[in-house]
Amino acid sequence: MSSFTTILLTLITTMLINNVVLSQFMGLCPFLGVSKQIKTALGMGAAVIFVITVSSAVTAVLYRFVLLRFDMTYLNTIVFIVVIAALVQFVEMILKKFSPALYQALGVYLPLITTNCAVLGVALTNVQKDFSIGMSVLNGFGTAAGFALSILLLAGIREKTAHNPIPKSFRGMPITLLTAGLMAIAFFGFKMLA
Amino acid sequence: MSMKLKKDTPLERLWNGLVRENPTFVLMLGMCPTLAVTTGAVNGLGMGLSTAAVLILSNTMISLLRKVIPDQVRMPAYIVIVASFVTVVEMLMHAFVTGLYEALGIYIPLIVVNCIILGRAEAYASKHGVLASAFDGLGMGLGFTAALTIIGLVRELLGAGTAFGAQVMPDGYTPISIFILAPGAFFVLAALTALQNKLKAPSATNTENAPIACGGDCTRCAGSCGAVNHEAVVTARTERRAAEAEEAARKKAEAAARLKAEAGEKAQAAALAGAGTAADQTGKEDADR
Amino acid sequence: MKPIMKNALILTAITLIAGICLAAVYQITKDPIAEAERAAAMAAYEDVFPACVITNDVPAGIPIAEPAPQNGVKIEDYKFAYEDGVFAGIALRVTSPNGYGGGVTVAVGVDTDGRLTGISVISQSETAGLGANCVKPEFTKQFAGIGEAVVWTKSGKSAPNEIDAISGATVTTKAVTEAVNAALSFAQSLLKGGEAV
Repeated sequence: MSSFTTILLTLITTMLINNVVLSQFMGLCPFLGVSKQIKTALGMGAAVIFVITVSSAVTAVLYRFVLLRFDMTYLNTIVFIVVIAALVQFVEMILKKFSPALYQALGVYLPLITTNCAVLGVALTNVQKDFSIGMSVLNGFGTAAGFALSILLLAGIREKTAHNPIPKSFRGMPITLLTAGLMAIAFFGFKMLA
Repeated sequence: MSMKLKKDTPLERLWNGLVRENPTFVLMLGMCPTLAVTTGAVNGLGMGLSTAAVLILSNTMISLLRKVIPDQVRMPAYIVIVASFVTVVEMLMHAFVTGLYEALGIYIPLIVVNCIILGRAEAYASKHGVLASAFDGLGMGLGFTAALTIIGLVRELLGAGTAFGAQVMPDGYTPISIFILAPGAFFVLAALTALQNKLKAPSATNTENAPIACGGDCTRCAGSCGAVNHEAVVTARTERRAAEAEEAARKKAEAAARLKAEAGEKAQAAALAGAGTAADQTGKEDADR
Repeated sequence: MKPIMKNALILTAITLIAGICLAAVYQITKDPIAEAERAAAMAAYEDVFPACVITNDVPAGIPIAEPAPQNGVKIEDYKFAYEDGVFAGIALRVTSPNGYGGGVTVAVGVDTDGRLTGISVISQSETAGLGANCVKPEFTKQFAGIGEAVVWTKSGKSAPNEIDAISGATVTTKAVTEAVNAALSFAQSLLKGGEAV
């Protein structure tokens, strides 16, 4: 397989077939919480892509060169979560200082990302599947792009249905969950690609 | 649904976690594992109990250390403590209940980022005694376990025709397998929350701006479980500091006034000290002299 | 500066103590974990070679080879089965990382003719009711007797080396099949004295 096909296949698998939200249930909180408007969904999606890609690289390097080398893989969870929390803080500070415009756009979403289980989930999956550093970054990017795609789609649908005559008890959370369920069925179709 | 119990007693904490503030049905916290592992009642039960174990341990430890951990670094400290307990539970499960360990897979380490755990640390354990905190963890953990087991049982029954792995549906029943697939998880929870709305049961999904939970709004829950609490703490502290400063300034002013009566030359400095908190230090020195 | 130092010190102390505790628990649980895995593997080996004694004794004519992982599929361990003292085949433990819910570990038995005696799933985290059906005999017994690379199909098996996919769980089927094929080709190369097949 050429490297191009590998990249393409990984992206399709992580974005569509094994979509992080709709088939793995990671990152549900922001998926349900920050999807009222396309604008905020876009900001959240971009922030998640940014953080997951960077954290995949950092955790993969740490795992290969420190944890694996010194036979301390049992510290994976604790090291990864601390690194992610620190990284998010760090990214926030850097953005604030050097790119106020970007900070304006992503800033409010960054602190929410530490407890987004997709970030820790990707770091752990990379280790579990024994990915190389490059592959980890690719997997991280694809997964995060899948998250961004699904939160954008949900936000689009929610904007369209916001003023529909929905039965009273289904307004709010229930209709959002139903929408997500229907999206999950649609994404099930991608399994045929596997 | 209301029961009169003395606040912060073990029994009250159990009731609170199981019913009044049930983490899943009322607070709507920890949705990721709730949807992901409830493909069967056994998995739901296992996940619930593992989370309960971590909750009890982390609540106890954080309550023990609540006077040691400085406020500014409490989040990283909590994360380290919770992650350690999760890893301990993970290793013990791997050693002694291998089957369950494999069935729950990656969702065991992901207990670390379950909002319930950091949420209880921040909202309860960091402010209450060890016994109450431990029982708060137990109550919340059991509430979570009960919810996950029930959801798992419903999905398993509809989706596979079994309960706890044993065939219960008659032979003629064709399992609606979508219920144990990803979409089914969303549908079951949608039906449940709609039912709660219909019955007007207390739930984060139908209480606007309720102080109890996030209502799926991360800016108020997951973001930093209890950013609100933190703000309250900070506000209280600022107010207290301001009051103290004011008090000090007033005393200084009085002292200065006395001094002024004795020797008029220090009047200006005293007035400066009385003017505000910024001149705190100068004022103090002056008063001392 | 002072409060920062104090905060850092307390945080470091907490982390250090946590690390030490984890190392201690790791030491305590290490052996039971290894033992549980060994017991599970042995039970699965006996599943694919019933009435056989499974040992580490290398029979005559079989080279000692270090299996190399292909596409992430890892042959973790292999042992030899003896029926009444006669070499009966090779039992292998192989893991594919490409299951739906993580890795799938399978025990594979290959007899002296290079045919599968059977497979047994040791561990899996697949979806209950779908992928998790890979442990059921309806799926696993299809593999017995196949002597070349296994191919899975969704449209009903028509060739001797074909198996029916688990309905609704092609990802799991694929993972199990690739694990079995890796084990089969490695065992066949061992039986032929180490040449590539």
